[in-house]
Amino acid sequence: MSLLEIRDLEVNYEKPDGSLLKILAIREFLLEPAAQVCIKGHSGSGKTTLLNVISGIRTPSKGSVKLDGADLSQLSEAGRDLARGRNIGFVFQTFNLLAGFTALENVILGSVFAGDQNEEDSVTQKRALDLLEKVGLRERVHHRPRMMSSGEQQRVAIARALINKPKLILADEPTGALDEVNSRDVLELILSLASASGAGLLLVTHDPAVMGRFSKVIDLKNI
Amino acid sequence: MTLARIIINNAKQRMLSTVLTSLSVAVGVALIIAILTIKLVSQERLRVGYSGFDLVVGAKGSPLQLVLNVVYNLDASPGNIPYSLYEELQKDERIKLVVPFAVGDNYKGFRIVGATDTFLTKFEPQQGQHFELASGRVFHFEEAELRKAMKDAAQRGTRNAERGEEKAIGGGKATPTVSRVHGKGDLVEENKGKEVRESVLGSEAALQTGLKLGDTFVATHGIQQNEEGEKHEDDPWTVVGILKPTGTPADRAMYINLDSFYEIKGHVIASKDEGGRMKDEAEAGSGKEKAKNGKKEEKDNDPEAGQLSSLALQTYGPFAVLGLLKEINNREDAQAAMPSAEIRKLLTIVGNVDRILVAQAVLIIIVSAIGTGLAMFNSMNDRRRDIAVMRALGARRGTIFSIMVGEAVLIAAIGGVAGVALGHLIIQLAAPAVQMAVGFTIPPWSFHEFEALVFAGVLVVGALAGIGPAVSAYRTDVATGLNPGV
Repeated sequence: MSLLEIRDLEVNYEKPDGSLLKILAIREFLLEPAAQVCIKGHSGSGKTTLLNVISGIRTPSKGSVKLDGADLSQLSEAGRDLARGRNIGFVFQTFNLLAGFTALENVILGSVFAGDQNEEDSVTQKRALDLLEKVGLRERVHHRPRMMSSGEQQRVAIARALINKPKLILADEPTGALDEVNSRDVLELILSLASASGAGLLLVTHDPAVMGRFSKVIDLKNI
Repeated sequence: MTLARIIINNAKQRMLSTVLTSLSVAVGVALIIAILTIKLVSQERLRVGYSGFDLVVGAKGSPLQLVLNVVYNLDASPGNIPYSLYEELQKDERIKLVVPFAVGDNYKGFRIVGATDTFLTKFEPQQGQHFELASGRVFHFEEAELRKAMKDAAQRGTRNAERGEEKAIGGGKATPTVSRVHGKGDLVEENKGKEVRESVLGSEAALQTGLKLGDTFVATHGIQQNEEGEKHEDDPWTVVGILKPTGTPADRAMYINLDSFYEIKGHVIASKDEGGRMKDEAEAGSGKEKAKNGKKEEKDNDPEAGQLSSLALQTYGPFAVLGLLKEINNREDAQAAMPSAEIRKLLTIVGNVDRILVAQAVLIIIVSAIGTGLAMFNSMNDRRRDIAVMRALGARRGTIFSIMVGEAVLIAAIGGVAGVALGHLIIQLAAPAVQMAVGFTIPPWSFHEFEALVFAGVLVVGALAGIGPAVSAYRTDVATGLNPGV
């Protein structure tokens, strides 16, 4: 069974005059478990919209999205929220850490909304600390985002994305706000940690340097 | 991490706004706490104060003034009543106990009350409670000494009148003029061989004045502390007893034997009747009654028969109270007042003021809560990204709603706790002034049940204030919040 199945997907936007503007159209897309795929497309091609639909943040106008066998279109909004919290890890271009929380708290936050998993707080905290160590930030656990560089913030975001041992990691231009050195380091972390955890990875980008690190690169307009 | 942790972090992130809005809530809460605590304690103290007095009897005038004077040792006596009324009521079978009082002096602001030993040995300042001595003994009192002293005081009054000087007992309605009737030698001659003048102090009076057993003190004429007032230097009293606390206004009084009150040469019994009219006028105006009552009327108007400031009555039941109330009020020379009724009337008047003040305080809390909601609303633009991130991490709309309402409740709770503390601090700061005004202490740090209700109410108001911003957060579009350009 594929980890992700997308069939006959359409996302349309209704214009003020009532006509529809097609933002995204995918006939078929399959992602196998633990696969690492890069989706390329120019700016405005619908890459972010694709990730929003896969994660259940946005509902498609047509078609189906199945994540680990569960058809997201059959779930309520609350159901999609829960599925997203438990199964998907997000890495955003602009990091999207909460300014009022420390690095450790931002990582743990990724587990708070994952539903009742009966896990002790101490276990979650230990796992968060381990992840921060893996991304090289053991000494920054109690620092707030404003005290960290952009590269460090993105590392915290990666740790947050992995806290729930997700089945799928969605990365939306994760190196878009970083310099060359940090881009390379962050990308390496995402690839290695995703591989180590057995999670599938779907990364969208328009950066050729990033595309070059993937064995499978798909053009959005061709799916 | 819990939702509570998220709420606390959100509030800390906007610390200035959180502190200012909490402070505004605290002000409203503090006002309510202070107003209602002072009101509740005052009502209770007033009730305790009058619980031992079925009726008070004094000169015609304001019943409330009479009650305040006799029961709470506040205000001036409305005037004097004939001693014969006391004798008459002593024989009334409806009355369990009647005790006489004479007032007019103070020591450092504490009321000096002339009384008989019966007051200290048989009167119940609260129902079922008697006075107890912490140390010493009750002063000596003899009826014969009292009659002699009253007679002497009346004769001094007559001589005063003849010389055009007038100074009545009671500290009366008018500010008395000071006049020395006798020289020092006269007092020594008068008091030759007499026992010391004795006083028993209320617990609070003893504590505040620092007087101990065996100490002497000199009274100042007048019912209020006045450094310029005439001091009865030649008539010192000796403390022979100190009472245990009773929780009533008696704690703040200094009791002296009634006969020694009249022995003060500055105290005279005026040569006019109890209605404040001169003796000749009284005889002309009440000719009918005089003809009817004969000798009794003459005796009442005879200053040498003695006068008192007031009487306190304990009766055998409510029917006795009502009967005596009517009969005494029908007299021309006295009035009776029921302390419970007069205090209820007073509290009704004051109660209206309380309600206005409490309403104002409630308005302050509501306005503060609205301010909290507005502050949160104004910060929604900053919060949208955070809300979108939490939604992207799996938070449901309802969870976001709860976080926002929770933050408003937290701000209200902080304000509530601070307000309770501030309210009690206000009470502590106001306590000395309250004690000076009404004679009893309000414990500043004792808590009452209503405070829990006030706190709960503040939380509810805070929650309501948070609903608006919470609805806005609930409706946040996640995709737009995460990626403003998409």
